[in-house]
Amino acid sequence: MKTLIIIPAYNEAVTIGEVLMAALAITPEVVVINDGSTDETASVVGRFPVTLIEHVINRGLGAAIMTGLEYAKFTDADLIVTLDADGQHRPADISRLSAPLLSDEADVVIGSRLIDAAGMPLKRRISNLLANHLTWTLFGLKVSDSQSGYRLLNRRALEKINLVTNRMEVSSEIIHEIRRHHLRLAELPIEAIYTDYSLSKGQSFTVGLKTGWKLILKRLMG
Amino acid sequence: MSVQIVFLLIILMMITRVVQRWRGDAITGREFLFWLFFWFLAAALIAWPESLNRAADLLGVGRGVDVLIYLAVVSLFYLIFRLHVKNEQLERDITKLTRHLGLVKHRKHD
Repeated sequence: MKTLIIIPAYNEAVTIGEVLMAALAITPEVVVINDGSTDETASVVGRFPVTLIEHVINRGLGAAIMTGLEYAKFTDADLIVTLDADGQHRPADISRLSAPLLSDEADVVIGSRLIDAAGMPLKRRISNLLANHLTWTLFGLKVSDSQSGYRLLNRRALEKINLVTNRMEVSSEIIHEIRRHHLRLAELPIEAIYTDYSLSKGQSFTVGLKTGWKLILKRLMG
Repeated sequence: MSVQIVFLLIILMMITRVVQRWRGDAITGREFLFWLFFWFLAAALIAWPESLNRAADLLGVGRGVDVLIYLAVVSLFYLIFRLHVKNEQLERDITKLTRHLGLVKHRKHD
C-alpha cells in the first residue's frame, strides 16, 4: 500500500525537521503544505527529500489540509495520512493505525488522544470534550477526539471528502464529511506528545470560541 | 419643517450618487432600482411622517417611529446576513486561488 503523509505547516521551523525525519522513516512520499509561514519553515523543509507546496498567504489549517488532499488526488497513494507539524504525533504509529483501512473495515481512522488521555493537560481535555459535544450536536456523529489532527484515509474517503472551511473548524468539518458520505470511521488510541512548544501551538480558549461560533453558523447556513 | 428640507436635500444627494454609480457601472440595474426605491421611500416617510402612524395602527404597533425601528432592525440583520455570506464566499475564493497558485507552481518545478 502506497502511503502519502500530508503535513500542514505554519511557522513550524522549530519542529518540522524532526517531524520530517520521522515521517520519511515510514514513507518517502511526504508533502508539506507551507501555509504562508513567515519563519524559516520553507528552508528547513527544503533540506529534506519531500514535496513542498506553498500558500503565498496564510489561509489556515483547513485550507492547507485540503490543498494536501487535492495534491494527493494526483498521486497513486492508497493511504493518506495527515499529521501535525508541531511534533505532537508519532509517524511510527501509522502501521498500527492503518490496520482497519488495510482490512477494509474503515475508510477513515482517527488517532484519538482521548481514548487514553493520560498526559493530556486538564484544560485541553475539557476543551476537547466540549468540542466533541459541539461536533456531535451540530453534525450528528459522536467521536472521542474530533479535534485530532492524526487522520488516515483510504482512496475512497480521499475522493469523497471536500473541505471548504479554512481554519481550525476543519477538524469538525471532516467529521461532518464522514457522516455526509457515510464513510466508515474507526478510532484508535494514540499518545499525544505534549511539550511547551506544542501546547503553545494549540487552540487558545478565544480561538476555540471563534471556531465554535463559525461551526454553528456553517451548520445553520449550510 | 426646515429639518425635513435638510433631510430631503440629503436624500436628493444620495439619489444623485446612486444614479452616478449606475451610470458608471459600479452597481447593477437591480441594485440601482433597490436603492432608488429605498431612498424614495425614505423621502416619502420624511415628507409625510403621519403615514408611519397609519402603518403603526395597521400593524398594531404603538407608534409610527416604532415601525421604523422594527423595519430598520430587520433590514440591518438581513444586510448583515448577506454581507456574511458574501464574505464567506470571498474567503473561499481567496483560498481556491492560493491553492491553485501553490499547486501550479509545484507542478512547474516537477
